[in-house]
Amino acid sequence: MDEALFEAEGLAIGYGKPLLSDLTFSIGRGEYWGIFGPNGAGKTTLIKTLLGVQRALGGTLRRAEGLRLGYVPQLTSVRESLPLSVRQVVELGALDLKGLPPVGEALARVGLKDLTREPFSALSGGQRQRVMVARALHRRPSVLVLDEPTNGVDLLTRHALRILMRELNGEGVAVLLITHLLNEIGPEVGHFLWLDSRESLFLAGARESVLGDFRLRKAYGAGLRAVDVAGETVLAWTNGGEAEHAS
Amino acid sequence: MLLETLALVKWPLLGAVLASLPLAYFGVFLLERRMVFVSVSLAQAALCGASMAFFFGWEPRLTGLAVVGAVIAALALRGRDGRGALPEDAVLGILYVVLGGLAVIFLSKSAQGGLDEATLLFGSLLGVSPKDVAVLAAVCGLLLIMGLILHKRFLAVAFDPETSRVLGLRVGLLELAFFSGLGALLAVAIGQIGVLLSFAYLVLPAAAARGLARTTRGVFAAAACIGALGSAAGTLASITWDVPTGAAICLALAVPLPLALVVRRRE
Repeated sequence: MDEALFEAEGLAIGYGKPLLSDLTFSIGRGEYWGIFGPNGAGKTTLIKTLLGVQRALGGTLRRAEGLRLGYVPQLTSVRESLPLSVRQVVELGALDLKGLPPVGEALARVGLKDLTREPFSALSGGQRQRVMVARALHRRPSVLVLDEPTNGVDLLTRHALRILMRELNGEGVAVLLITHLLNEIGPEVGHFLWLDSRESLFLAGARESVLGDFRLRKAYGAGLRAVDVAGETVLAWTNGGEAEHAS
Repeated sequence: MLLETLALVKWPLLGAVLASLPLAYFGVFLLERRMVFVSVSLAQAALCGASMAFFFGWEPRLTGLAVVGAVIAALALRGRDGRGALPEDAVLGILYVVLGGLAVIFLSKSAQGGLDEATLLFGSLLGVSPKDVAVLAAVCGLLLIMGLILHKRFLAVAFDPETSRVLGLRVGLLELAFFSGLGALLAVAIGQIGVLLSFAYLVLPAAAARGLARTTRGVFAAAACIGALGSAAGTLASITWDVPTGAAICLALAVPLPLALVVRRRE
């Protein structure tokens, strides 16, 4: 039961040559991880390696048996012009599974049950992202991986997604949230993988140990603190945001 | 009068309609994925294979299949890391030009040296025999089976290749199946429909269908109808006005396009 979902030891990732190497960490069941770093830091490369889409360049990586993944890619990676209905988009995300509950359940969870028959291409950016989340939820995942889920979506959707992720995590779903925005990281994020290939920085572990690590301050010249923004507690740099290349 | 004309051209018409249906299906995917240039390069490969067969005295369809297979294999190997020395569109352009040049040279030196550029471009639909139609029907049957089994997976990969990979779909194998099916169809049909008409079947019905229908089924059905009706209308027009059949079908396929663009703009 305590077996880790993902366990990496001395892992090296990259295309051809290592982008980051000697990565050691362990992601447990039901944990909420923030995979954080600036654009180009290697976040997507790391997640692709974890999910088995890309080969590790070195080290060992163990995945738990019987993992059921839910994956929400960046919206820019899907071909929105295909004439698919919302229902079809959700169904196409679970071609490998049988005996799943009706599609409407997952759509109801993201507040879009009434749009089942609508063309996906006719939806707003925020609605499309909700459909992508519903597609992942339809699989009844044990791990939910979201790649920059709030890119290009409205504030209301951001807020709703954040609450939903929190609820799902409360139900025992492990959440891996990839983001380059500090103001996406609330107190629910209990663990971090902090990557920055330009600073040769890799930190992994529980929230307090990563945020308190001296190497962060050394790399960016600033520390981190929790601040309240529009009723949400998020992270911010102690120098007021000057360490912008990391946020 | 109409029935008499139809009886006269029943085999060419049947051949054209048979070729148009699966090509319209492939075309919908290729257009959405912005990969139409791949298809025209495959058509050129099929033509090059047929020309080689004329020169060496081999079986044209099998030789076409072999050349198309070689091109697909080369593109698949190149695409494995996605980081070739040249951009993909440049590679496809080079293939198109080189294969086209080879086709012209082989044809000019073959026993069928009388074949002209128009034949290369538009094929020779009026020369379609019952045997040609039977072979085409067999290939279409196999493609139908492939489509019935893999259609949803083709859609999933076309919509979101990244998630498909993450969720364990064999994206590489699905791509190989898709392009092998298209390549086989082109290899069998290229002698009759030529490069330009095969390109027209792939692009025009799919482009018009996008504007006329809003659902997946609607788009595929509209593309198939436009392909079939355009073939019939073009063939009849070519007989009526004594113009080349392939060129007439190309123009007939283009007729619904302005209407589709108007409909799409109004939405």
